[in-house]
Amino acid sequence: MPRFIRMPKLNDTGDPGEIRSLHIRPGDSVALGAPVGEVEMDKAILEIEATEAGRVKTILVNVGDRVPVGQPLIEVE
Amino acid sequence: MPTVDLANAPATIPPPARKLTLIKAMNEALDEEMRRDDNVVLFGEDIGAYGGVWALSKGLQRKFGEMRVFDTPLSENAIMGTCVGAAMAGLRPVIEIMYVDFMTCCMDPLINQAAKIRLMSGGAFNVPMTVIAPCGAGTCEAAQHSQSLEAWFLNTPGLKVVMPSTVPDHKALLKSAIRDNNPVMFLWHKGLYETEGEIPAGDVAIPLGQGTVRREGADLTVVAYSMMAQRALAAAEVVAGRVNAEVIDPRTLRPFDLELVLRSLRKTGRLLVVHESPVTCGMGAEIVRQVTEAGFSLLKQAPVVVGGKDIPMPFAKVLENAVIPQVDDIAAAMLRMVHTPE
Amino acid sequence: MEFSDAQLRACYETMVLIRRLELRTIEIFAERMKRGDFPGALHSSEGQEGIAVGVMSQLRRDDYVFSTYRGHGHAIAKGIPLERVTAEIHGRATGASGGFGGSMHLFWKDVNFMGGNGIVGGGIPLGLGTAYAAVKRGTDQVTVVFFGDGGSAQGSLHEALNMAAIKKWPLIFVCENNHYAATTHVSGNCPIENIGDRGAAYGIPGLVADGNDLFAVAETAQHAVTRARAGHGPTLIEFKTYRHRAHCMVIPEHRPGAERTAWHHRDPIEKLGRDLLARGVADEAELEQLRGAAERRLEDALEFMLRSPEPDPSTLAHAVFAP
Repeated sequence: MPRFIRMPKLNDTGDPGEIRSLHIRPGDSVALGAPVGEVEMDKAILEIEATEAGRVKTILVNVGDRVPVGQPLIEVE
Repeated sequence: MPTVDLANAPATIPPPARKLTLIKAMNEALDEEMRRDDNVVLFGEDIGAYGGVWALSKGLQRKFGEMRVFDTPLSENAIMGTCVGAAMAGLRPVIEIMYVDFMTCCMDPLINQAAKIRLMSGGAFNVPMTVIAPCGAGTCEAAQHSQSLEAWFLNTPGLKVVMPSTVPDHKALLKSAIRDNNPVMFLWHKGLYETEGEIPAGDVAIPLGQGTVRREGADLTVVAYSMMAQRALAAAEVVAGRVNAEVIDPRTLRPFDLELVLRSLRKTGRLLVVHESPVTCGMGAEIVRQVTEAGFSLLKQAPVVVGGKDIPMPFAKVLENAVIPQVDDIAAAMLRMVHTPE
Repeated sequence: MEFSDAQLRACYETMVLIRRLELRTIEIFAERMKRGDFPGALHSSEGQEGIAVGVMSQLRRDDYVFSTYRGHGHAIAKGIPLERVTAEIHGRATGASGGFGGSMHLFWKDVNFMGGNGIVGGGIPLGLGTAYAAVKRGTDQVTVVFFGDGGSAQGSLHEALNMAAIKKWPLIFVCENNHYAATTHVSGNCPIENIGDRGAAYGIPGLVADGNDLFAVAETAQHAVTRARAGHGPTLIEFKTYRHRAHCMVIPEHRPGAERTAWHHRDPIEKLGRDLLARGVADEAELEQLRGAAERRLEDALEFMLRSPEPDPSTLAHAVFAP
């Protein structure tokens, strides 16, 4: 069963966020709560924290992508 | 396996099944159609004595003579014009434009003449012609030798557009394109030049407008053509176990096999279109339009188009790869779509 | 070359017919314009009748002709039935193109009239194809492509001249130099005095003649046709002429009055009339009869047009692709 870190809901209306940076690469270990990237929303830059622990398998987005809430960003194994 | 001397075999002996390269498959299609119909003629730059810079017409001038297979000067407008006029006169001409990018030099005879003559003449004249051109990026030939341009031809009523992905389909569809009584743009991807495939025995001509399911699945309908059909299949293997993708290769873009896509969407409810051409106003946008109009209720989520970036093709390989969809890009899109909550 | 008396009288009548058609069409279009119902465009060939009739007099029914947007005269001289021409100009279902083409897109397969063309120089490269087809089939059909002084500046002409010369295909290039391309004087489209002289640049004969003298036109055309039929390849012809009207109905006249007057004195129909009288081919009464006959044929064709239905939009579904 694949596990994903997904785009969190960052404001009340649940707007999509734009990926500003990604801190991890495939193969990196990631712990729960660790910062994995930054997203821009309502002119603020916010951290994305890992909601799954393990090793990064696949990065599913690129810097600059606008991603709706709930969509998978990073696959973790 | 008995060998058959195809050069001297009478037309009635059907060719056996065997493995051929892409260009040899197209060469064979031309050979068979020229045998079948004396009106089929073939010309273009370096097409005659040399056999074409891509080897498209290798051996054909020797077999069919200089009146039917010939060289032209370096004049795309005149080549295309000759093709259109010859078709109006009742021949069935086939031309090679050396790179689809050079179509810019001969758009008037194609767009303003060939595509429109049947209508403008009230049906008095038809234009049964075929334009063969290599398209596509990945060979570091830079911005003016890497385009596909199918969107231009698709937005022109009166043209048919064929873009196969497998070697046997190139042969079978080229035969059908030549037999079609309308102008057909036949675009083959130069990145597929080295591929080989099993050609079935006999006179096999796939009808235009008929797509095919390359990989059956239940989670996601992926429509991908030309080089991207191969990449979509590769991506489906990468994500197998996490995504069960159904990959459809439409083969013909116009007329488009919408019914095949809708049938798949009844199973999956998710549509991903992949093409190499720039995403703006591309075939992906058109497929999404058609599906939205005819099958909106089948969709569980918004369709996605993974297409080339809106950037003229840069030269360096690393830049090229950043512009056209890679297997990883397609795999990522498949995972995102299937694992997004509904 | 020799015309019989009957042929000459027929040429005169046809030239008058073309002239009357163009004048009547302008009248009808002007009425429609007042009603807010102007059908697009009208490019009158008034003044250029000598070229249309003279060139076609040297062609067979099965020779191919590619015309321009100023092609009513070409169409009639080549043999499209007159009522089909009038019906098409007015968008009727009985028109030569079923109402799908209009003034600029008359086609008629029976006489190998391969279309007027809305693109300047657009028909020229297509003539390469019909010329090649004749050679491939072993017939001695020739192809004539018409273009104007403006068209002589288009790249398509030069590619086609070059290719036809290399291949020695039976393609005859006829430039109707009426001295203006829309509003641009020919000196703005050609840096030399005679467009015909450009034949030399392609290694083919380039002939220049008075387009308003039927005999000169016919003789020049015959020379090119004979060459082409014998397999000796293409010829470039330039006929000097003048159109009596501005480029089309919606562009106002701007050419100098003295120039227009001078060319009116060289009217090809008036000249032919004088020639026929001088040669004893017809007297004034017979010329009047020919003019009357042309007028009657035109009126019949216009009546046919008025009686004809408009095209049926449901036929659009099958109009694009051949089965």
